[in-house]
Amino acid sequence: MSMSSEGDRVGLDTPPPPSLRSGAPSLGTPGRASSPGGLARSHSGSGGSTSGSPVGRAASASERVETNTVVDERLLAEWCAEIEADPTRIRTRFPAAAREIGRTPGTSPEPGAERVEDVVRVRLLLALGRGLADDADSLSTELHDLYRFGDADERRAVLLGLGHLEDAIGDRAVDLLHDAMRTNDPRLVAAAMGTYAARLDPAAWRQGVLKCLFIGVPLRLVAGLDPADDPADDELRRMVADYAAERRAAGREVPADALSFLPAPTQTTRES
Amino acid sequence: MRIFDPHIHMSSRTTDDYEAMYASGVRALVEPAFWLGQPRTSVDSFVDYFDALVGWERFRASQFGIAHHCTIALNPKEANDPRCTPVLDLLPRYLAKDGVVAVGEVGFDSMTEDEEKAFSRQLELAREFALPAMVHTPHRDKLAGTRRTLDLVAAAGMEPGMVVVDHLNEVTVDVVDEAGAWMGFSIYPDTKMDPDRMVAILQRRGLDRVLVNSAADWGKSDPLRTRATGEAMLAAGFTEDDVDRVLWRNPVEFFGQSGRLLLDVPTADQGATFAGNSLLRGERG
Repeated sequence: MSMSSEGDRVGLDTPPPPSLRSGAPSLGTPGRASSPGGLARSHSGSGGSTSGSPVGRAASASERVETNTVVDERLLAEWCAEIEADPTRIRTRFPAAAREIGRTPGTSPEPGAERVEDVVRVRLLLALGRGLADDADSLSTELHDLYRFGDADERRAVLLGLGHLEDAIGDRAVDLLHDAMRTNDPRLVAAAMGTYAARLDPAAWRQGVLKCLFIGVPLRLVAGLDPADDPADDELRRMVADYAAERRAAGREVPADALSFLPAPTQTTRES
Repeated sequence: MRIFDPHIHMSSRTTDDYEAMYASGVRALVEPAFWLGQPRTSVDSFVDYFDALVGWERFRASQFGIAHHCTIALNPKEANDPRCTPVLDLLPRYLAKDGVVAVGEVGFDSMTEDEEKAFSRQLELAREFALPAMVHTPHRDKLAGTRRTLDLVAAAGMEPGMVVVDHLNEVTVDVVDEAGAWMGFSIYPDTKMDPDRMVAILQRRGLDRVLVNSAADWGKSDPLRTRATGEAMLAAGFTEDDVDRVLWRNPVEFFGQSGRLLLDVPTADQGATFAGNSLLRGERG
């Protein structure tokens, strides 16, 4: 098993992060973001009368995609500076970041989807890391509170940020990974299996991989996992083989991700 | 028929309900924070409940093509329990969140002093966070409770248009109407309101500021009563546009005042059934 970090998705000190270079939205796009409830605001802003203009149909989906993925880079920089100077400000900025700075429309139920608000929130976390650079315990406490009181989106962003704050917090936030992996939300589980998951003990990490198979998180999202180059972790291979056997016994299809772990002859029995 | 159920407690409903709701035209809903059917005994229980409302339940709904929003509050019943009231100090954490579209359910249960204190404090929070308020009216002594509610709303300096007073009936509708607040009606299998009585109220006073909900929860209730009301409206001669106004545009207008609606949500991960069928394009016809 190779659990080495495969490189930061978001640079600690060189924003805008690389993760956005390949994605459609760009943090470098100038202009003020419309609210995520852009619908709602454009509604009230358009003098919607009690006759109720059909806000739901006012804008086409593509129009909203464009307006909502614009990121207010200036405001983001301002908030980062503010948080760096007074780290407690993240408590109210972090929840509001999507609607105030930028957000990908929709919920992306599929795990691992690239979302603007995740990148924005990770940037706020990086600012928090700079603001508490010499106080790892306080940094850990803030991260735990953001997670504890966060909604699913905020929690996902905290999990995605852990890999970038690893040097500062060490093992202090491993419990957050355990919490996320007890959920059944594939987006949280996927976020928990990023580079920071290298700090899980091997048994927990293997359980995480197996959970990904169970709930449909693509294994390409698991940092440092490459079945082809991974002859060493026999225990994980055994677990996946048992899982595949159980699926076959029930007459159910074995996910391709699981098959990638198994020896070729086993794969040929897939159709049986 | 596209439907926005402005009051339904999905955390006590099954995935069968979500499927049936989607099939009936429900594309968006608001789940107000309320009592659980049995008393909570600590603030931590509230925190876990709020977490479900802004996390797990939103995700669950999205898988069925439905945009889930919630309201957050200390409910009137538990405002009487000193073990629960400290949750008031935690509310600001949640009122800052996306998808939290009102403070609620607040209001009266037994019309106690403690209830009034919690109610007033939460109306202040609604103003502070520029959120609408969803007010529950009591089962017992309903008309007096409704009047007292409107007094407190006025005393708090809250715009009547930012308040929905819920669970109304023939007896309580007019005082709320005159105050300029929004009127919520819960359509139930046996109690509260039924579709035909709802239609009669709409015929009498029109469609302005009316929200129709199922208020379905852990008790005997039916998440499809909104649809039944839309059909009763059509049978009584209302147009499809009238139905759309009551069951969709009105709740969008009311909760849209929060600036926090997430109506672009559902492109659910359920294959061809929902793929590409976003909320806004899906129900035009």
